Amino acid sequence: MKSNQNQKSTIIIQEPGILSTIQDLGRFEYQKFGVPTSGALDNMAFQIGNILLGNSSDNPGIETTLIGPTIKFKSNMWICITGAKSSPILNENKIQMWKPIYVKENSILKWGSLNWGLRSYILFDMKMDIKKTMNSYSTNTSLGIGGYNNGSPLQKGDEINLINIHSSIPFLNNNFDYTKHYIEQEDNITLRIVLGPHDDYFNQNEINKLLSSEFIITPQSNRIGYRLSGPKIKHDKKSDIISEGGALGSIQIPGEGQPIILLQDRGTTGGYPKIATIATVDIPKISQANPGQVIKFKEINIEESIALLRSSNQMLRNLNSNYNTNYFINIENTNKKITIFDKNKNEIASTKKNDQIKKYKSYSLNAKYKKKKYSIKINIG
Amino acid sequence: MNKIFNIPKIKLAGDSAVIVDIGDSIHPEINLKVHDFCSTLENNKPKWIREIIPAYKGLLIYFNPLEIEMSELISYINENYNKISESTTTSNKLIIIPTYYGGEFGPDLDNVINHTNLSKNEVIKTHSSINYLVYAIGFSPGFPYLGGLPEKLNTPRLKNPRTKIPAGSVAIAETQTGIYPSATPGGWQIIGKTPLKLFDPKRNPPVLLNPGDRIKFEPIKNIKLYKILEKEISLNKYKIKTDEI
Repeated sequence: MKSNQNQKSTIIIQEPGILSTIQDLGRFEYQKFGVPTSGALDNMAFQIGNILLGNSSDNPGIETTLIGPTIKFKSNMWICITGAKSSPILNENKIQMWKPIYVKENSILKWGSLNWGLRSYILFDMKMDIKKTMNSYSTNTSLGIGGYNNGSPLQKGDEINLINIHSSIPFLNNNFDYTKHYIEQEDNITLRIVLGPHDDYFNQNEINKLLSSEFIITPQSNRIGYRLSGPKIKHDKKSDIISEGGALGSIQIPGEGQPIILLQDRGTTGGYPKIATIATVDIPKISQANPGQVIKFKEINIEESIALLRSSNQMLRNLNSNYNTNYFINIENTNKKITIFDKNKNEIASTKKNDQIKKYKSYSLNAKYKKKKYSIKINIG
Repeated sequence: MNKIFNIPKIKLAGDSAVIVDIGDSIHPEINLKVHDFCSTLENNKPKWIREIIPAYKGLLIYFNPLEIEMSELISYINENYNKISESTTTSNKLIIIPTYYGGEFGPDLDNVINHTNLSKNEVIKTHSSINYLVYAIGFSPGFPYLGGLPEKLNTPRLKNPRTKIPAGSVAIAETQTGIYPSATPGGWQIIGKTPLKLFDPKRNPPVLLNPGDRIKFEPIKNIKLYKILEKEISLNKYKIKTDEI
């Protein structure tokens, strides 16, 4: 039996888009050396896409910004696009997001209008054949670390090789409803926050101001952080702290009083007081927010924040167990016959030798699997 | 001031991290204890601790809240604080940083000479006579926050920051001195340059200096020697010089 395990595929970046970078779930254990984690900002969309393809949730993919890259596929493969509603177009046809899509050799992926959000994720049922930097594929463009070419965003002409990691196709479920698994796609954003670590640098009036006001996202927002504009939050005494590490989602208040939300490319240490920290489950909401959008904050306690994280994690685990079942069937059509394999590439059934596979015909196969007999009918459409 | 706490102060930094302070100021004794505490926690690190970032007076601990209760986390931190052992004390090795002072590599050395009223030789001699403690690594990958700059070298930042400072530049700002590991914008007074690579993403470990290390600058006598060192380093033939404290 022919194995396709070592087959190589290539994608070519024909147009880079606004800012397209290779990301995984981040670079950990290097923050003590001053190296930011980076990683997919909306790691919910990123992980769901990988799970739908049957991948491990950290398989590297492409994060787009506003307009994604134009990609030419040099071989057949499965992809899944998640995140911002970015109207992906394959060979002039609109394709669905949140669903594994079979892409044929020489196909071209483009983008239509952006109807919600900012960042989409392109995931592949293959692994990128690029070297990890400090144990991660994630790109940090401002420091020149990781990705395809020394931390550079994807550029015109980049050719990325991919390696097969699956012996079967993704589990296709037409009933998957992403809205039950993903953040609400709303224009009004409320971020849930836990106060601290430096809420004691502010008096109650200023904390109330943070919790009751509307803030606008400024254009000076990127993967490092989101700068907000709104009423000034005044420090009680000092506006600086002795430099220390800053967590993902920290809301720091510099001297001039305008909040900055720190994201995945943030510097590892900093010297501004952090009034509060965004609940981990709400990081995807801010990652998908565009300049000009309005943000409000809502205080929750640490127990609530952890409970939200627990249920989100449980949802991903359930999804993963639904989509990574061991009883997979793989149909391989070699033009002369159709063969069905299980995940380990053992033949379960095949059409008869003399059958000629033609369009608009149906074929009956008798299969024996796990000591049970099945009869399978295949219609070629 | 300069107090080391009996019990660490733990502050919430969201649902997946805590700040753990063991002192209230920038002081070598506090900072050395931070690094000992960090090593104690790093040894036999449970899998629910994801990452620890030591800084001047405390640590940021990233943890997985789905695997440990907050109350258990707090008692774990307190127990380990009491367990800081003498054996984990940070190394007493001194890392030598060969540095060429002045000329094209130290365009602001004259500013420092003018501001401090010292001679060129006095500035170089004073700057290279001290064992500096690496309080923390941050700002950019591999950038050491150094403590111990002699007061007479204190010089304010440039009025107009440079858009690009070459990697390896040795600089002074107010009471601090530091080395730029990669080319970044900056407003510090550049007094020299080291051919050593403080940060190389392809090297393991990627950084030359660790929090808690001590370093000493060693003047390189002329450009010719600098170029020789630079070549040895690029060919991986240079062995980092260390000294006992």
